[in-house]
Amino acid sequence: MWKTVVRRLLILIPQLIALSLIVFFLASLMPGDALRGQVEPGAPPGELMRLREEAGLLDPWYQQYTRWVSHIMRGDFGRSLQHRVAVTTVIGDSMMNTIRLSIMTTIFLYLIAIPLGLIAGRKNGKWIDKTILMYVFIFFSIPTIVLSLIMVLVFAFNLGWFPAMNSVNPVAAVAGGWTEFWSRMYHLILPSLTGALIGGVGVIYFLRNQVIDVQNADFITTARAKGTPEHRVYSHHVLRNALLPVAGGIGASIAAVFSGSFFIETIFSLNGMGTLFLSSVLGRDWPVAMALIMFYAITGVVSMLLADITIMLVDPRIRIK
Amino acid sequence: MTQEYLLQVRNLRTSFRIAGTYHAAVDGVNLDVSKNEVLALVGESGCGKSAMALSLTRLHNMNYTSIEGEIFFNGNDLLSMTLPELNKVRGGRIGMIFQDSLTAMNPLSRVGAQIEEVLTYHTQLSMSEKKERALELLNKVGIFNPALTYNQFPHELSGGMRQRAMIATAIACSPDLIIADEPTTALDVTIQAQILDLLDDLRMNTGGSMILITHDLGVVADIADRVAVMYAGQIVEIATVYDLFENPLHPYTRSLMHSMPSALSEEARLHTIQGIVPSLQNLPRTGCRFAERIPWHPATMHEAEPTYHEVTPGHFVLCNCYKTFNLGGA
Repeated sequence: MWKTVVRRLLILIPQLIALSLIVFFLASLMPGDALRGQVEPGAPPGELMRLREEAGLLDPWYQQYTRWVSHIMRGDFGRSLQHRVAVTTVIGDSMMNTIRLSIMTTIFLYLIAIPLGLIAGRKNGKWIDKTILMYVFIFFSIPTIVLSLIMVLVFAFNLGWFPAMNSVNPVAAVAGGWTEFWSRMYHLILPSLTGALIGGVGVIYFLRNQVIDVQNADFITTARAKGTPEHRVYSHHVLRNALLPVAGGIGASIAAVFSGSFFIETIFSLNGMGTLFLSSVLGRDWPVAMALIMFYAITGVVSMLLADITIMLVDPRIRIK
Repeated sequence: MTQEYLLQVRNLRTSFRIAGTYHAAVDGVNLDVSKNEVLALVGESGCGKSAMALSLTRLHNMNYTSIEGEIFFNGNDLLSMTLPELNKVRGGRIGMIFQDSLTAMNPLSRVGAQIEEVLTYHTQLSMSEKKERALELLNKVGIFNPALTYNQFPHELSGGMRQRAMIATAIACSPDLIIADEPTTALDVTIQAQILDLLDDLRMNTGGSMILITHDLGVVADIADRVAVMYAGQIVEIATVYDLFENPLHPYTRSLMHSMPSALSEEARLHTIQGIVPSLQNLPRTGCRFAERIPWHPATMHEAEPTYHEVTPGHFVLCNCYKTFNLGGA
């Protein structure tokens, strides 16, 4: 198994090289750069060109690329053109926010989706199944931005249960420790719930169909023929078999939430990676954008690897050689 | 209820819902199984054998199945029991063996755990006692290395081994009745004989009854005491093995036997029965159901409402057509 893990991580290297080359090349074709907006209106005419030359933006893209790679080899991701600080500093805060949001979203997502999917499948065709399907179809079609606004309106504005914005209470942030931790968790409930409500519908529908399939399997008849009580038929025999393919999807869904949701981050004013990525592309802040793309690529591959390992652990028929 | 019968099936009718209407796959079956008896249920695919076997312990998906009639097991009607009551009988008093052991075992559970599960529901044994019993059962069904198989998953075993493990599960609680639904159909011929011998030995040692469902008449002759021949949801003939092979009466029984390949036969071609078992929706519900597959036999020879005729004591045959039927047209 460890061989597989190492091999998969080694394959990641050529993948990253290819990806970065493509992105770098495409970026060179885009008009505009980050420096135009930073020149003082009264600056001498040559000032913009001087800044560009200083940042190395006038070199051909492949020279810029080799320079970028050689810096990364030394652990230097460069400086943000917009923010004029190290890329790692810019990304650091938003990455922590996104990771916290992703973990909360993933937890909520499966807490909601697994029971609902199971109930809908077991009560296939009954009113409770129809109600859950109604939820699935509504939340499948509702745009994230609309749901986010409804959530803010109802739970933050009208009911006042949760904060409407920011990732932490400033007072708590200064206090640090557990106070800060709980404040962060509290701020994340509404955005992560929003993400989970929308992200979970696919899992619910998939799991429901799995349960419907599995409950007609021969080994379920065998289980009943052994005198297995009905609740245990579901909790023991149906659940595990129906969850197998869902476990395979966990990797993909983790990768999806880690890339951040621009809409949720924007509406809840969370300084996350989705927002940062969009602003860095719009501002042509290539050092930041490139670092983010590399991060996404790595999380993507690692998530898939995690999914494979999960399936292997739960399904004895699959053993990766 | 008379005490000598273990199982008495009265007017059993199992219907499946197809496109909104119910069609009977088992259509008014009466059957008695005595203690220590092996009853074979024979017929082509689709004639209602398995539908009937699953009905006995209500294993059908009740969302689209209706089961009517009475099934007395040790004097209690299985069809009117509550599910918890029935669960005491399933696995405990009635053990089931299915055809395809690969799909009939939970792919995610170890063999040992699947045997122990049935012990959990029907005995008060502790964990270590259950393990001991499971190993003992695996040994009993002829598995060479019980300790190894105990920890294996179903897909790691061969078909014959899996079927042995299924048998171990079925006999774990020493049931009064074993229902074996084509237990050897999915196996190699060499393994088939071993599994049948094993089943028969185990049954004789524990003194239970068995309903053996098969389409293999050779199997029947080997281990059954009585044979019921099913066609289109009805039992068309029932007799002791000896009577049935010596004096098959119903046109269907005779056609079945005639279609058995024989090494002694000089003929190059195999015999077949014309046509196929009609599907549930197209099944004629009046008259002799086999009539359409023996078209050369005059229609006037069938009864309009077929009844059972007791030809010799214990040998029943449905419809009058057996008296004049000859295989000539086959």
